[in-house]
Amino acid sequence: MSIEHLNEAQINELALMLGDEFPEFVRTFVSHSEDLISSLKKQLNTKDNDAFVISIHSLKGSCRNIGAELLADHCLQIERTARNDIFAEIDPELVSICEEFNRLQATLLKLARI
Amino acid sequence: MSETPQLKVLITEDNIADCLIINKLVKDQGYQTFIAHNGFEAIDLFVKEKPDIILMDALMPKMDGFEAAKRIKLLVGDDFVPIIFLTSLNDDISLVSCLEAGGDDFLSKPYSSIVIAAKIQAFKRMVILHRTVQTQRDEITRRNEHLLQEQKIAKKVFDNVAHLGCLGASNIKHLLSPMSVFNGDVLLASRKPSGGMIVFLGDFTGHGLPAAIGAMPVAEIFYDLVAKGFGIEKIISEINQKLNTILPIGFFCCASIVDINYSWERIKLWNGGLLDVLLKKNNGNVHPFKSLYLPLGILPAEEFNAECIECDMKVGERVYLFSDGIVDLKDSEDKEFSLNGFAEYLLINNDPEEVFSHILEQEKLSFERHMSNIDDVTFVEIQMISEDVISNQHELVKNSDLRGARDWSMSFEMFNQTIRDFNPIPLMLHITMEVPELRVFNNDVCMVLSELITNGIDHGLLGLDSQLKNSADGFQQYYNLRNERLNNLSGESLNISLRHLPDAAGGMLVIRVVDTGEGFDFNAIDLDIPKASQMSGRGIPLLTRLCESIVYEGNGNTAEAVYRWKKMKDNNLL
Repeated sequence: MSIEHLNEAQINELALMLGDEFPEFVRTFVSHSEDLISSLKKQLNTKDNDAFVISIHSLKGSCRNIGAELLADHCLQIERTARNDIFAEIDPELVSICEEFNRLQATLLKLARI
Repeated sequence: MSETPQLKVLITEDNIADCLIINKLVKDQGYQTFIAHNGFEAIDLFVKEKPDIILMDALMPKMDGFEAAKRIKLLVGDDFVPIIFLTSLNDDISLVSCLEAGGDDFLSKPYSSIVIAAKIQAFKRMVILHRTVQTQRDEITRRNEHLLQEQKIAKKVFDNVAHLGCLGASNIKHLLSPMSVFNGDVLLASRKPSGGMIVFLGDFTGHGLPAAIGAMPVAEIFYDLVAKGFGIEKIISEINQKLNTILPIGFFCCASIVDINYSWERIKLWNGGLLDVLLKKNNGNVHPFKSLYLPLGILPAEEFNAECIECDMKVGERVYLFSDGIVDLKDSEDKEFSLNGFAEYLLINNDPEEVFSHILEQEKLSFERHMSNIDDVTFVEIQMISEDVISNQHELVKNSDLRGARDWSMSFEMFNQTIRDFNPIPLMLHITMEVPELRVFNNDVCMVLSELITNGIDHGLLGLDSQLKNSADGFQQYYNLRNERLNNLSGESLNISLRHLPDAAGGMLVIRVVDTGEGFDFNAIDLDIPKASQMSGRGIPLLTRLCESIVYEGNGNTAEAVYRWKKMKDNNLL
């Protein structure tokens, strides 16, 4: 299996470690990440910059943990921009993140046979 | 894992997915986990569950990991609860913030099960080690407190036994600086029943408890024997014998002992192993008395020599005794105290006040600067004063039991060998002290007894001329002759009889001493006009002053003194 946006070795190790709990983990990851992304949009809209930084940082961290390098990199880029306080440059719809998240979600659900 | 209780790990992570992973990783290592999603929850769980190790995410909503870590470290106090930050921050500044908040280590994302296991294992060891150290520290503290408590009680007992006796007398100045609760030095002073005073300065090997234990029997023997009227040589021998029996090999007591005779203005001195005893004469000279003997407690009785040096010490002259700690003293230029230096200082300085404060100053300076490596320091200055001054300084006499022997008589006869080897005065005093209230007049009784018995032996039996004692050389000659004649004594005896009868005011003690000597012309002595020259004679003016009557009979070889005493009305004197 070749997955360009997912570090194969890492996701496999995680699946092995979690065993039966892997599908539950994937569901948790997906739903928590969806919540984070919708929070991110809200925080951009209300200009709640501090909360935005925490949320994007959290999303980036969990992406790294499962080996979702591409999404993690997108997050890192946006986190940097946000930390530099240039929110105007951030896409209010977070298209790059949403698109990558959808692809990742599909792959993960397939992996976890959900 | 099996030998130690399961460690509790508190995980604080706001990202639910990450939390799942790390929780699983930690649980798989066999630890019990607790989950918090922000700083507030972490603090609550910390208080409630008392975890052993904390994994803490840095950035979290509500309260972040830095703040939570700071607050938890405050709550931890003396305990060691390691905080490992979970972070994907990896710039130096962020890592420094983790440390500043009290973090002990980091774990970066993505998590590796191997790294997590290794870190937690390492901290687990540290936690266990820290607890062991703490338990031992608490145990040591507890034992130390217990020990101090015991020492305080022991110190009270010690102080009661090895009390300072008559060190408060106006002619004695002393400095005692203990290094610990107990002092390796022991300083004792006691008035003799005959009116003089004996001062004992001892320096035990080492200090603290072992030294103090040795000091207790020394004090016991000292006060007991001085009170019973034993001479300095006997007291030194007894102490040596006791220490020789009880002290382990390699432990001993260096000591200087001075017997002060105020009426004769003379001292007897024994120095075993201590620094020179210095005598500052009125003419400005300083005379050192070197240690001539091994310290107390080393030699068995048959090899021990308690012979003292005797010399004149006129009113105003001062004698100085030191313990070895004095050489550790340093002056303001950090120059060490030396006895020679002090002797030189004494030579040029005639002001006693200044001499004493000079030593005090050095002692204070040395303590301020070399607190830890200084020995016990003891220093005594004794000044010769006139007998009238010293006898006005009343001592407390405890007299609790008012029953006792009030009407009795006894007779004690000594023959050649006993006359030579036995001092009967302590025995006689022991008996007279059985008369309640007479104890207060112990000094007087002792003086009368001593004079009559000494007269009986020295003049009556040995035919010695006390005029000899008027010079230092004469003293020596006198004692040489005395020893010689004592050794050649044959067919002689000395009878001492005592009779006590109570009366309304107090009582009457009759002391009668009969010798088998040739006697003397008692009519030649004018009993009513004491002359200076007669002071060293038969001490008759002294007897006349103390006794109601003094009568010589026969050839003058029977002397009978009547000592009448009155109960003291003033309880303050008792």
